[in-house]
Amino acid sequence: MADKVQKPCKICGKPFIPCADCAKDKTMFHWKRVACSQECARKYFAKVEASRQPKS
Amino acid sequence: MQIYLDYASTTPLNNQVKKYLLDILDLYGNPSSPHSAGEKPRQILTDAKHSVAEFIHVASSDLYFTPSGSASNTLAVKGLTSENPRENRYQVFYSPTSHKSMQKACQSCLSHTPLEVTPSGEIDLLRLDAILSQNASLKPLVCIEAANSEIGTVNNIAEIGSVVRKHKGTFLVDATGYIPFFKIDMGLWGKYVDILTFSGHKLHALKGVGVLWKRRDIILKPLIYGGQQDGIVSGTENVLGTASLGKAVETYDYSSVSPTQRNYVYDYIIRHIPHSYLAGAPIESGSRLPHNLYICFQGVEGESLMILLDMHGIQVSTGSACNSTDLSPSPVLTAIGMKQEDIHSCIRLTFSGQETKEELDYVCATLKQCVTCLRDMCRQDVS
Repeated sequence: MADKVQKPCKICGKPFIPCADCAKDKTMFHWKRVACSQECARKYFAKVEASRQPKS
Repeated sequence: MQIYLDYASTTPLNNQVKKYLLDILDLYGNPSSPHSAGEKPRQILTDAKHSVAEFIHVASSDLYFTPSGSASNTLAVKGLTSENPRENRYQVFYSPTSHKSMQKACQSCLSHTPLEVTPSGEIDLLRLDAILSQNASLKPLVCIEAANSEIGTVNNIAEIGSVVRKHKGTFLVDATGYIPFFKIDMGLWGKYVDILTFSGHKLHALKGVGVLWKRRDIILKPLIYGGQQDGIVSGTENVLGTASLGKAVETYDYSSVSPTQRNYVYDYIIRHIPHSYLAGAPIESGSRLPHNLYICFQGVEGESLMILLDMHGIQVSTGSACNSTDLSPSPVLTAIGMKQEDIHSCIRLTFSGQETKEELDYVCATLKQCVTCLRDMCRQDVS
């Protein structure tokens, strides 16, 4: 475990070990690169979608 | 709006089943009890058995209820084979696209070989004939699914069964994915099929009940000992589950099965969402389940798409999720030769056939929006 890099979850800040295969794959977005759980992934997606809404 | 598009995973109870269950909910007696408290539950089980037997045109005495389709598959495989090399009489051949329960039960046998499938997922008949010809010493036990619930491919049971018969084999068919859409007549299939299994909760019955039919002369060793159901599937019976299945098949309506809703969404995807394709048998072929849409969206992670769609009220399934503890891709997608880079980019939509145009239009628009969003996120992520 000592040699596995931990990253902070972009939502809750909790350190987690991102999936190595997901980290290597640049052909698509993987939620496991940025979030520690599906719950945080949903919040991340919600933020992304909100940022894409046209500003009134 | 909430739109459930995962009917291949499970189905809701229909209203007749719900009403029937409410009527019998207070019958708590053990059907094995000889006294009056057991009488009505015992009759309920008998009635359910007759209904299911009629549904597939078999004798009720050859039918058994199990805890699940997986339990039926496991019992069929492990009940026939033996782990003692001196006792084992079977060489097991199994479909690499069959349900995990069947694959793993077969892989746990002493002697097992995966079969080959075509790129659309059908059992390759020529290769089946060749592989069975090479098998000399043991009796072949051929285990396949009638229809694959993941990519929707339907196998030709009569053709496969003929090959198995030619080689004097025993033929086990898992009909779980097939039976919700195509009526089974064991009067016809019985020429080839020796054991048939399926699950109740795909037929609008409760979860927790499966079915196993076997040819009368086939002897299965039990997995659970006790005494119920001729000692083959012991344990106090799941009265409510079995009753729900009996009622569900009595009222089952095959005339409502239609590919219309699936085709509507498929047409939209092909016209409006580029770099996407269908996996499994072609839409217009007769070899595809009418409710199944298994699509690869290139450059999009299937799991992320599933999450995003769920956030918008649409429930679908992914074919292959990257799991930190299990990095192996879907064996089904590997077996049909899907490109490695596409394996994690698939989702499965399975329709009830009752979706409204408004709901379908919402699904189409949301799919396009979510796929576009995820592809944009990839571009931004990389840059």
